[in-house]
Amino acid sequence: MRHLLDIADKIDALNRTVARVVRWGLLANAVLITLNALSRKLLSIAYSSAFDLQWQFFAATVLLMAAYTFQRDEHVRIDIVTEKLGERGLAWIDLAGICLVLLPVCVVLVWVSTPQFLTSFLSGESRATRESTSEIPGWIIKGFIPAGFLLLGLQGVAEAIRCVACIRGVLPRPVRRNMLIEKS
Amino acid sequence: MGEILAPAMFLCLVLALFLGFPVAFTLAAVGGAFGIIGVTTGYFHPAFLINMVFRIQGVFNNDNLLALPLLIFMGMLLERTGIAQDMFVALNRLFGRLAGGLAYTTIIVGAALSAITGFVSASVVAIGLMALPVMLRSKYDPRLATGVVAAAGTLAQVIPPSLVLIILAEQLEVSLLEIYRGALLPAALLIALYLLYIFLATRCFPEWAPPAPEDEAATRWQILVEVLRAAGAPLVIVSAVLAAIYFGVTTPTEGGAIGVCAILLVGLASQKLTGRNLRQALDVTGILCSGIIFLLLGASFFILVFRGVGGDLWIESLFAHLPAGQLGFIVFVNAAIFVLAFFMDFFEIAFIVLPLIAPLARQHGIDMVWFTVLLAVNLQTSFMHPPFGIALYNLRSVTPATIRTSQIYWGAVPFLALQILMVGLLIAFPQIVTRPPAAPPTGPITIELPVPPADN
Repeated sequence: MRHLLDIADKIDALNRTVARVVRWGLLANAVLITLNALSRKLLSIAYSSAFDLQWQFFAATVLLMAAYTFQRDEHVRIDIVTEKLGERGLAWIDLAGICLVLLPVCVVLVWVSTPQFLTSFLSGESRATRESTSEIPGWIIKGFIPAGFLLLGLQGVAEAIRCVACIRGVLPRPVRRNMLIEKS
Repeated sequence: MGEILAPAMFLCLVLALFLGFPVAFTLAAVGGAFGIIGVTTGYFHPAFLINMVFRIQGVFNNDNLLALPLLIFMGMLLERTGIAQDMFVALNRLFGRLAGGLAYTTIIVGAALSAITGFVSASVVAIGLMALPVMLRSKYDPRLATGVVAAAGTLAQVIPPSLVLIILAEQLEVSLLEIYRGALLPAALLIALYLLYIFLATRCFPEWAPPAPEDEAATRWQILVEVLRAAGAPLVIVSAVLAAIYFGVTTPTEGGAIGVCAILLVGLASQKLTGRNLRQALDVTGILCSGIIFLLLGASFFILVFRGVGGDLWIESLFAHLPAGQLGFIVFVNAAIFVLAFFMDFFEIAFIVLPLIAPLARQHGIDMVWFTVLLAVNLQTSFMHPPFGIALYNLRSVTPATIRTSQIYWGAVPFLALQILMVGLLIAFPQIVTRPPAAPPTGPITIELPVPPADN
């Protein structure tokens, strides 16, 4: 069990690190969009690739931070019925949910989206469309999808380990819910 | 078979949701399970489900959704850097001498923080932490204090550029700009109603809201300068962003981005922006954003399969028994959403329920902009009603234990009444949202057609 909990901590650390890097994309995106808007309005210059870059940042933050969001237990739940179950009851529900719901969803999505990423990567397609002459390769966003769900699945494994530890009375689960805004 | 599949799917979803596992994944799993049933019974081809991957990619091409992280970031920056707090303190010195001055301030700051208040859970906590201790220390009646915080925390749902309106526009397929324009007058009316209530309440019961003691040290001018310094910049930025979007100078996304940069500059200039609070703001923004988009993805997969098994026809047949045409539909939908909000957060309602209702509203020939604004106001109402209103629930988590839960409930009741009044007003006078088309010019109209030049 100790060994497994170590693995859970390593997964936590991995996703925390990913989130800490990726979150700066939000700041970069705000600056990028402002610059794009100013150059479009004031100089009448618009680079398709610069506009398209906005989507890369957006996709990266949303997809790659999903696992960290799960770690912080901030994916919304309807818990007015189950909140009275107590710690072990909640652990059982989460364990079942992770095994029956989260992991299958992640596996299917990784399985379905990886071939699309590979096709895109090998063919070297760009994101140019009828409306845009973007030169950004298409595989970047298509790669975020399997990567995001892979990380999410890993985080699911980590949480499942903690649920088992809690049910067997080895270690209580860390409380992370409703801690989004620090109340200090 | 098909007649059973759709209701069964819906029932499964309701049961699964109440188990309390994150909604986004539950939706996807119910969708997936019924997708497999649909494929094995020959209802649709497996390729139908692969559509979902394209939907995921479609999210990252959607201009309205791109505005979400920027607006959240803007709100979180105001909150984390303490600019909002300073604004609150400064406005207090201006209004503090008035009876109920703190309550007015709370409402105004709540309106200015509109960008984050789509998240009832985030905004009520933020405003509660800011305003509640000050009001209680000033011996405000706990019912008034908590009611004002609950109202201010949910208020900006209807004030552009709110997240709620973006999501509603997205789900009901209406132009975002039209919604922003339509929502402005109702939002102003609502704020006016709140302020009027505070005014009347503090007139009738002066002991509810004692004015702050006179501040002898500062002259009126010093206070005014201080207010301008602390509250001027953020208020100007927020209203400039709103105006730029309203008049079509920038898209909502660009407006949000420019707002973020402006607040960053203000934060740097006033040395309030530190690495720590910037990182916190980024963290919260990323988490909230990821949570919403995953919920959207889960719900959109559920709806995809639900439509695939004929769910939209089933919902339509349920509504077919409803009497009284358009008005009956409106009243029923509003009542239903009011009840649903006992259990569900805004985003769950918007992503699961609204896509099913929107086509029906269109069939009834309802003005969708008006419908959207009506829903936004109604949803705000739903968050404040006891005993489960999410706003009250979150408020409970930041109020000291000396305040009884029943006081929080009673505090919300007057504001709830104002909200219901507003819903009624919107139904009775749709003109509040939809400007009547310009009256056609009276009198004979002469149209001059240029005579085509004769060919020579």
